[in-house]
Parts: sequence; C-alpha cells; structure tokens
Amino acid sequence: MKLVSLFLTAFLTENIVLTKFLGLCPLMGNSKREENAYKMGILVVLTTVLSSIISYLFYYQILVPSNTAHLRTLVFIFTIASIVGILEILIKKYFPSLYKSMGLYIPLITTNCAVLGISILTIDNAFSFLETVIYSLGSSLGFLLVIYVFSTLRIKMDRAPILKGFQGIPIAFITLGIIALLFTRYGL
Amino acid sequence: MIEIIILVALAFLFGSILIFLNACLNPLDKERDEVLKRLPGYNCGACGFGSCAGMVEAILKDKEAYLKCRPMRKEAKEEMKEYLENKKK
Repeated sequence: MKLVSLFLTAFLTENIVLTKFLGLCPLMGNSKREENAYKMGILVVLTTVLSSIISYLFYYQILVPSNTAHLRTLVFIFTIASIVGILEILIKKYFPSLYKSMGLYIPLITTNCAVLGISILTIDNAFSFLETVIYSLGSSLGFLLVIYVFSTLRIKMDRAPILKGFQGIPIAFITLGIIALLFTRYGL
Repeated sequence: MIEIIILVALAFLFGSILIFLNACLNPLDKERDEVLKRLPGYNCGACGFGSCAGMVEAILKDKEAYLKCRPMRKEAKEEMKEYLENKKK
C-alpha cells in the first residue's frame, strides 16, 4: 500500500515537471509534435529507471563504503551518460526508424535534468531499493504524461488566435505555469 | 587517492561496455567512418543523395556510387576505388 501511494505521489501530486520544474528543456524543445513527444517520453522513462537503479547500487555499494559520497553527482552523470550511450547503440541496431526520427535528440537525454534529479532525490529521501524503482518509474511516467498532454495542447495553441508577441514558447510557458498552479494546490 | 581509483575504474568499465556493444551490434560503423573520411565533406548534395552521409549509405550498397560525386578530385577518386577494391577481398 505504501508503494502504491509512493507511485501515485511521484506520478501525479509531486509531478517532477509541474512541482519541481525539472526537465523543462526537453519538454519545451520536443513537444511540438505528438509522436516525437511520446517517443521522447518513453526513452526518458527507460533511461531514468535504469540509471536510478544503477546509481543506487553504485552509491550504496561503492561510494558509501569507501567514504566518497561527495562524488555522487559526478558518478551519477557518468552513469546516465553511459546508459544513454548504450541505449543509443541498441536503438540504432534494433529500431533504425526510431533512430532516424529521433536522431540528435537521443544523446540530449543526458542533459535532461529530470534524470539526474530523480537519481539524487532517491538518495536524498533515503529510499530502499524497491522504493527507488517505484519512485523513478512513477516520476518518469509523470514526465511522459506531461510531455504527451502538453504536445496535444501545443497543437491546439498553434491554431488558436494568439497575440503575436506571445506565440510559440511564451504562451507555452504561461500554459505550463497554469497547469503547475493546479498541481501545487493538489499537493497541499 | 581513492576517488581517482573509483572514477578511473568506472570510466574503464563503462568505456569497455560501450566499445564492446558498438563493435558487436553496429559493425558497419567503422566502415562508414572510413568511407566518409575519403569523401570531400562539402555536403553539397550534387550527387543526389542529399549529403555526404547519404552518399556513404549509397556506396555501401553500390560500390560504383562514388563516381557521382562532383567535387571529388581524380586522386581522391582513385584512392576511394583502391579502398573499395581492397575491401572486397
């Protein structure tokens, strides 16, 4: 029961994008088209779950026993970059069409702060292994939900009559702010 | 001292995993690089394949495709021909 509530908290009430404002760059950059948005979201889910599991193991098996816990940011970035590299090789081999359509955006997952943020938050909250898996899955699925919903909203926004100065990114940020306000109320 | 050892060990571990996976799964990558190195690299698109990267794909399918490259000099074409012929054997 505790795990279910942890999952729902990470997924909705403490959504990584809407309450912690992590991962805004891929959200803004990759939500112009619906199909790219959900492909990006699924890749982020894979990367986040794998990297937070491996980061957790590295942190508690190597860094804490050897008294070098201050290295965690460096080691986590290292882990994330390598996992993205491995995923890129696998995608290139088994899903060439996905590789062609995503191409440049795959290595950019490395710089998605939500991925590093989730790894660090699991350590800061002192989660157990199972909780880490559930929390990272919930948070990254929350990212997938927001990026997909947001991409459908942006398609509507492109057609709507909006003042010239607000078109594109500005109105997207305003809309995201309004959604975030709703979610802040939710969490109280 | 221990920090350096940990980081070097991790770098070695991840680096070897990446190299091993890439060599196993995408063996054509090395060949692509070799062919691309021998092209002029202007990305002019005069060959009809869009860019030099498109030309590489075409060369991997059809060995004669490099003849369509316009800015390529004669010596470079001979070098490419030599490389592709050696590749066959």
